[in-house]
Amino acid sequence: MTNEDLLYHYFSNSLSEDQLLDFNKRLDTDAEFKTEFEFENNLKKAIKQNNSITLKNQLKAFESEISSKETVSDTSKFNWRIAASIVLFLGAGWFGYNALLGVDYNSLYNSNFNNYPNTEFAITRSDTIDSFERKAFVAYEAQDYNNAILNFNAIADIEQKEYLDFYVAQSYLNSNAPNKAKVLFEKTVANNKIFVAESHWYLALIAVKLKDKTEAIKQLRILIEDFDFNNTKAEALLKELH
Amino acid sequence: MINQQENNILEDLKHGSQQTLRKVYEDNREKFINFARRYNLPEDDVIDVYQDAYVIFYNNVMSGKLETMTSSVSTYLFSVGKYLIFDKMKKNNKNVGSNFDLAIVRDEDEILETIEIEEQTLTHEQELLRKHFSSLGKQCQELLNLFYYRGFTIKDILEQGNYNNENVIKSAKSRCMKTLKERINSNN
Repeated sequence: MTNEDLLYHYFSNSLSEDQLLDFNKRLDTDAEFKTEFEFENNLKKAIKQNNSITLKNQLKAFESEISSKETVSDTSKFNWRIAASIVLFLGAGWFGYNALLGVDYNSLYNSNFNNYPNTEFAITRSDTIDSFERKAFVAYEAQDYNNAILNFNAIADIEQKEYLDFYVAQSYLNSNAPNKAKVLFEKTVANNKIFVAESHWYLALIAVKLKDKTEAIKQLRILIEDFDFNNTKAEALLKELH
Repeated sequence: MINQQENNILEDLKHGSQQTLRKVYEDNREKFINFARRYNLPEDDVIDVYQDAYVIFYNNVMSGKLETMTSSVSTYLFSVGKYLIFDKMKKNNKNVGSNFDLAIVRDEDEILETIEIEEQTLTHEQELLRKHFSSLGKQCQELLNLFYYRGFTIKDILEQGNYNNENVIKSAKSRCMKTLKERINSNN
């Protein structure tokens, strides 16, 4: 096999075991082969860097477009605040009008609810210990929430983590058990360590699901005033609820 | 199931779908920003890390290193992002803090095994290669990209339908490499 062919198989990840032995041998003994390998390996790195730079520039362009959209939405946020003051000023008359139209709670819930992704537990193929936490997150990512709950609940007290209540709550919410989810989101808020803002958001959505407008407004106001999470969505939802 | 959806995303990206490239970026952006808040980095830095994580994800998809997903794209981006944030904080001598889950940088972590955190600065020779590669004709750039970035075999390239037979591909590659070497030598 020529040097060229051997290098071709190396760079197309198609070296057989024998070819790999031959490859390593030539790398040690054949200076010309080594020089050519280094040239092609450097070319590979140069091309990769070229592609990375092109992609990063493309992502920066996406970002500029997103930022300019957000600026427009900030302007409308300002208008909303003015509008909200007017609404409060108008008082009872407004609420009478609103009650007449009614709020479509199901549609508001469905258009705002997104399952929170697993950001805490990296599932690895090479894990040797198939722990309950691993099984729970595998089921969670597969959207098998009943199994996720079973495994989350099987985790021993000693292995409990700060983020687990939040994910059990997510699983309950996805299993159409909002009251059970509510207790755990409230516990997460009370612990005040992790996923606090996120829990306020989901508590607001649960209130929407349970058609408890006062509670939904209360949770959204806490979120907007005290946290920097989903504020644009929270303000839009607050607007819809009024 | 979720993995099928994620694997469809990989297939679309491999086929060069610009729509998927943008959608995946947008779908995960806000989640990533919210998740990264706990590390108290300025928002510009968070966006920068997100983009770097995205570039690593994309490169691994295109080079065939990441062929199937065992977790969601979000989880993949978060894992890479966490690693990059950790790296950035270490470089800035910042206290990583108790919120950072050090378990994520375990050697056996499958996601991190697929990440190549390479030095972004190229050597003089690599920089020269990058410059002259960019000066090649479009066809040569595309062909060398398929060989060295995508790791395609000659058969894979033939299946794309731009060449009539394997010998044509081999000859075209030889010509491109010859031109590249001549340009580099004339630069020295």
